[in-house]
Amino acid sequence: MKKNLNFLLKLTLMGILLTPPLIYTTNLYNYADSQNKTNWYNQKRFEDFYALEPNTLDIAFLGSSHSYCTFDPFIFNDILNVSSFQFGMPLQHIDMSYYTLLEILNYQKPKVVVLEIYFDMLDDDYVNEPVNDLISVIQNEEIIELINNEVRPLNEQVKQNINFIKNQSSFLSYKNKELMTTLEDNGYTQEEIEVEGEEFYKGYGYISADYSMPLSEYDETNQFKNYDGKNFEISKVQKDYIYKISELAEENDIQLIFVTAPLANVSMDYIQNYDYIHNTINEIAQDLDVPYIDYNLIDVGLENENFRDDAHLNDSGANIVSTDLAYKIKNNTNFKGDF
Amino acid sequence: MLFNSFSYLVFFPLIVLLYYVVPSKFRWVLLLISSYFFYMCWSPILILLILFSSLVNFSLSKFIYRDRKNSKLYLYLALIINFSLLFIFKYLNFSSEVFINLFNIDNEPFSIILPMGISFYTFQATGYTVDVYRGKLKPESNFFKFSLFITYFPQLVAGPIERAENLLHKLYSNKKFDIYNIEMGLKYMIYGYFKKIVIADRISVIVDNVYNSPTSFSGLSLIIATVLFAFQIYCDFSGYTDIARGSSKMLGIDLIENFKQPYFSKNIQEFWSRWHISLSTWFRDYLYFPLGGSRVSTSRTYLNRMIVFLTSGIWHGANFTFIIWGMLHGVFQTIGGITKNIRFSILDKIHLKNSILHKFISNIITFSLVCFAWIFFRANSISDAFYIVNHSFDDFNLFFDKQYIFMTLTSIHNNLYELLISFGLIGLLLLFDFFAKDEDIHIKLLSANTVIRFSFYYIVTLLVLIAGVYYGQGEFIYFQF
Repeated sequence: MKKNLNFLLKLTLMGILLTPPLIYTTNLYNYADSQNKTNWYNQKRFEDFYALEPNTLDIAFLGSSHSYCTFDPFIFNDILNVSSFQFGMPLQHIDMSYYTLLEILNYQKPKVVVLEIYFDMLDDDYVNEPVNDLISVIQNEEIIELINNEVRPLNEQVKQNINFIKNQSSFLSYKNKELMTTLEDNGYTQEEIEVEGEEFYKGYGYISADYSMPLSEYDETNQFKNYDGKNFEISKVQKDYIYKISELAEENDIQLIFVTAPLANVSMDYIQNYDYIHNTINEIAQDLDVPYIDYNLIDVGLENENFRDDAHLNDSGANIVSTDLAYKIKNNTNFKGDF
Repeated sequence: MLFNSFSYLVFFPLIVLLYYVVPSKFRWVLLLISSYFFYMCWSPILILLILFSSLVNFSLSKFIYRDRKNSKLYLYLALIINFSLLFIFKYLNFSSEVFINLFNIDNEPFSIILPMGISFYTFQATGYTVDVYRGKLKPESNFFKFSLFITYFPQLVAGPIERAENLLHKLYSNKKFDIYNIEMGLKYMIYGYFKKIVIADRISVIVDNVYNSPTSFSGLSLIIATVLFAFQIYCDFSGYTDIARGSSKMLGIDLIENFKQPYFSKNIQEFWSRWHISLSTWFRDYLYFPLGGSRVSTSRTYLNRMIVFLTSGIWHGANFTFIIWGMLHGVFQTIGGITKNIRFSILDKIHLKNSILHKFISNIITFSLVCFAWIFFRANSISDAFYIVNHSFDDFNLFFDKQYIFMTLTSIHNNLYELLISFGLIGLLLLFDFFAKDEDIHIKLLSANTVIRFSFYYIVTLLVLIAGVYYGQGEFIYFQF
């Protein structure tokens, strides 16, 4: 009995002594988090979206960075004489595309939704960053609650409520910025890849870049160097959300189009089993009777110079692909909507 | 279910609570059900494979015991079935790939899923059967009790590989609730979590970054990543073992020690007496000794060692990288054995034998050799491993240039602050290991001053809470074996 009490006493003392540093750390991490800005592009994109006249949107582009680097709404607006908007966000997985579409439908009635499907994100059941990114920019509390309950696994929900866990990465980023500033002030310089040109927010959610892929990404630092696509698989979670998006589109009389944005030619050379990847996605598209356009398999005349890096198009490339897709929509009489 | 998952933090306390609430004669049943549940959380269907393996070893052990005349036959049958299962599920994919490439056959290689922990439970079951054959053990008469020995959840997926004589009886013997077991179990577990989620998971991002694209990095980056991997795998695996031992301790069942500060070894032989001890001793007892061990000629002894390390490499994974890793350790030991007398006589002449300097240099050399071998263990392919070996000392003249070091560190991880913290945490771990010397740190701390003991667990717990990696934490490396 005495031993048991002694243990409980030690445990209580440990708990009491851990409390002050935990409170201090929580404050420290919270402060760091408040100093880290939300991704400016995401913020601006959704500010612009909320500023649109209700029910004026015709085409919505969903997806990851591959979407906002590929589909330029200005080109679609021009060719099709419509109003289109780019909702792609960094690392946006299919689940987040679904909730983005839910939010869009609260304000707009698009006739066409172009869902960009990037194979490298299909194998994740859950990724924290895109969820946090979307929650930080959308206004609808009900959807935020839905995301928290439906998408976040229980353990993630718990973590979200413990600030010294939730904000730890913000603290590390904040301290790193401080450290780098100090070191750079003391003459240390980081190796920077020189690119000529700039990246900027053009409007309607589109991010323009007029520079080309650095030479190092042709081979040395190409992210697909060790990826042959052999073990590609789709997470059940993401697959279910593709079906949910299709269902939602059906209910709202929206023409859904699946598109895979192109990777740089040099990157495609590494992915020996790309056909397997394409066929897996294509099977889903066929099952849902949704048109699927894979720009990795269609020759629209893209060169490595049309890419800003090994996986994203620059402005010139976006121009080529957007024009092609716009005409595909225009010429395809099977598509719903009157263009 | 991972030890570092939220579900385990719910599952385990519940099991502990139930364990001490149910009458002691039913506790092993609870452990059996929870062990099946634990494994089925990962794959419900593959529990059948464990059950099959258990049934084979249970039945054949009984035959071995009853029918001594044909015992050898039953033993061979058990060994053939055990290793065939291992071959089919672990090596068939690789073998078919090699075969197809070798003979240029236009066929797809096999793609069979690797059941988690198959190498561990197969070795544990094989050890049991061999022990029965050797007369060291009477076979267990209750299949379900035997099944618990094979599936006992704390050590099911990554060991320690237990011997029946050490574990079997503990699983169903009468155990009274003892707060000492709870306290010690918690201590093991928290230290295990410290190693896994504070150090290993933080380092893994850096190591993956470099090893997934070694050609993009400078020589110094390759060296840093290799050294970091040495600590990643140590913290990952010994962290897992600590959590396993802690979990089991809380249930009143002691599991064997698997690690003893391996990076303080002064030669490769000593390293293997401190690293993955349960596997090393398994190979010693069931392979090295039957081959003749060191009671044969010197050259045969070296050959026996090479066979053991080659097998150890193959056990780790179906890839040439693991085979080379195992062979390297065999070669290191062989060279160490051949040159031992010469080295010692030179050290004796210059009065350095067993001096602090000698120990320190031996320690550094051993660590460097272990790291060299880790390159092959971690590399994604043989060509990557050779690239790393060939380019690790590129730009050596710049290794002490501050700007070069800065650029190297910022290239291997985009958060320099976090990288420096990782170095600090490794320093702290080495300090703890140094303090423990050759003992289990938790046992050593029992005799330490209360303030030191309390401070140790206080710091470790605090670091787990505020510095643990809670997002994107990975599986334990040894789960793949």
